[in-house]
Amino acid sequence: MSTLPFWATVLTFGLVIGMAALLLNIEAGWGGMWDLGIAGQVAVGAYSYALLTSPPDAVVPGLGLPFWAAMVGAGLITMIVSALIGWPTLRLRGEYFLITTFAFAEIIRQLIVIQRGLTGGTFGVTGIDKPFAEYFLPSAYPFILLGLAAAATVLVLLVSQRVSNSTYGLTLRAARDNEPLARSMGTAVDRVRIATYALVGLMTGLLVAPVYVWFLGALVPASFTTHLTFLVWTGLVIGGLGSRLGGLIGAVVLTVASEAVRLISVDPEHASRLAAFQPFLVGVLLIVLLRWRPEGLLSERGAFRKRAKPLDRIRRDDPQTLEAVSA
Amino acid sequence: MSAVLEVRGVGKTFGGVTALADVDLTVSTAEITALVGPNGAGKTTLFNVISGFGAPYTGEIVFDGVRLTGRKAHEIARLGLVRTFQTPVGFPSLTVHDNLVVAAGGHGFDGPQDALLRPRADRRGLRAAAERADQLLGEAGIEHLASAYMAGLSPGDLKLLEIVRQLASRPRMLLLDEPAAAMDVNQIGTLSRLIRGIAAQDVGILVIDHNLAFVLELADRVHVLDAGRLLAGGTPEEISRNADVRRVYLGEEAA
Ligand SMILES: Nc1ncnc2c1ncn2[C@@H]1O[C@H](COP(=O)(O)OP(=O)(O)OP(=O)(O)O)[C@@H](O)[C@H]1O
Ligand SMILES: [Mg+2]
Repeated sequence: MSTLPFWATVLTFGLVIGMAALLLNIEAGWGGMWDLGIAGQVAVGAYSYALLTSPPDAVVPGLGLPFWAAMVGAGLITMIVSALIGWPTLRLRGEYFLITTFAFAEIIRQLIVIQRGLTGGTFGVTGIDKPFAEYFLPSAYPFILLGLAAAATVLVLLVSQRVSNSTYGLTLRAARDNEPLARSMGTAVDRVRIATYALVGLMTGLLVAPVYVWFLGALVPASFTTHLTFLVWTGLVIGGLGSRLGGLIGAVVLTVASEAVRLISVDPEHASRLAAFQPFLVGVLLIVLLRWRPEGLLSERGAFRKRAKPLDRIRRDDPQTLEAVSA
Repeated sequence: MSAVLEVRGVGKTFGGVTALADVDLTVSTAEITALVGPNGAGKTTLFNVISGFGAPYTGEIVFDGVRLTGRKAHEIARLGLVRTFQTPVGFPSLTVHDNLVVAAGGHGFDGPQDALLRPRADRRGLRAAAERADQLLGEAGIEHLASAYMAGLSPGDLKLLEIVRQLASRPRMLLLDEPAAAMDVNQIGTLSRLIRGIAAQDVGILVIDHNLAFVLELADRVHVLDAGRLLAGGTPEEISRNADVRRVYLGEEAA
């Protein structure tokens, strides 16, 4: 049997993580908001999508909407939830923001487990509506899904590129570098950040979560643990925090590399040992890469070089501590 | 001569420390006003208070007829009252040019709406800001720094850029915190010319500096702050003759 459908599925998952990493890059790479709550946002989007498409008479009843309407709905719901979480959270600084977003994601997951009537609890939601599934053989569907994931990725890329070339993107990076200075120039930093968080929520609910749902085929809370968050972060760091395409490239490299390990054929008795080897390999990959390319495969300076013509050879040192500025 | 900034009876404490007590000060657009005083006198604190940084204070500050009390820093900046920072780091991971672009366009950009929904207008705004940045770099004679990163610049260039950048938004009034610090004699000359040029365009100027020679030569009116209180105020001649001022300054120089 051909391994092609398998690789199509791996790549689909890579693109899901890649899309999330591109969005995380807007928020964390350019905006400096180190969000550890990605899995929570994806969960809100995924369950919204599932419940909006699920027929009213299903085990976990929903509204039975067509997939595209559910995507829009999931986008709006995730955007609103993100804005509500962002409003109190984004006022927190540094590590408090990390911890709080982390906690919110865990709360969301626990709510999904507890709200059995709404979400199916740990049994989950099955019978997910996959777009165009009725027109294709099940054996061909992985390729259709890969096509859909690629189309969604293109949309996320367009948004990310637009942001990187906009006044908004520049303001975001400026406020990350020196918040008091950005304020002193008239930038409403809090508002920019909440809007950013909401944008990431919108795109997550609209595109990332639905493709993830199609990929999964059924929803259980275990698909939305911190593992998902760290996968996205690792992909982004490998690819290059603050670059334009790094998140996508890093995520695809990471998922393909770690799935390739699974293809190594070993005796069944060693299979579990090999499975345990997988996270180890990811760790080694990360260490080796960051040893040789601390900024990731791509870098922010490389990404924005066009506007920074190498006229002179002034070297950029590490950003200085900015606390002193506001004192 | 019209008063653009009025500081009335402003007081500020940090815990038990009184940083400012009953400070009265008026700045008019027709003059360059300076604020001098020894280390820890409260000069930067007064700037922070005026520009909306830090916790509440007592007293009242009026800019262009608008009460500033309780307003946020970005709102005050949008009124046209713009400050520089004593430690001029800028935006370290942006180029000098991008630093100015942010300043030139910064007021309008509150979120992703324009970038995503009105991309053409956004591009136009960015281009206009870039042209303004080019123009400012040209006027200041530092075009060659356009593509450098802030963190690689000399302290003097950083100080100069701190002002040039804050000019990008065409402010009504500038608060300059020790612009001449870390500058050599040549740079101070350029700086004086730059500040005079700004003032000539009807922009109010309040400048803090330690360098008395620079201040007395530049300013039309000088206020002396010591331990949070205004010690004296007047023309440069009056100030240089003032016995209290001499005591504070000679005391400091002896230390
Ligand atoms: N955020 C703060 N918290 C506590 N105390 C502060 C704070 N900011 C300033 N101070 C204190 O207020 C006083 C005035 O400080 P300020 O920075 O305004 O002085 P300055 O006149 O600008 O001095 P310098 O010439 O050294 O810049 C000092 O005693 C300082 O320690
Ligand atoms: Mg000071």
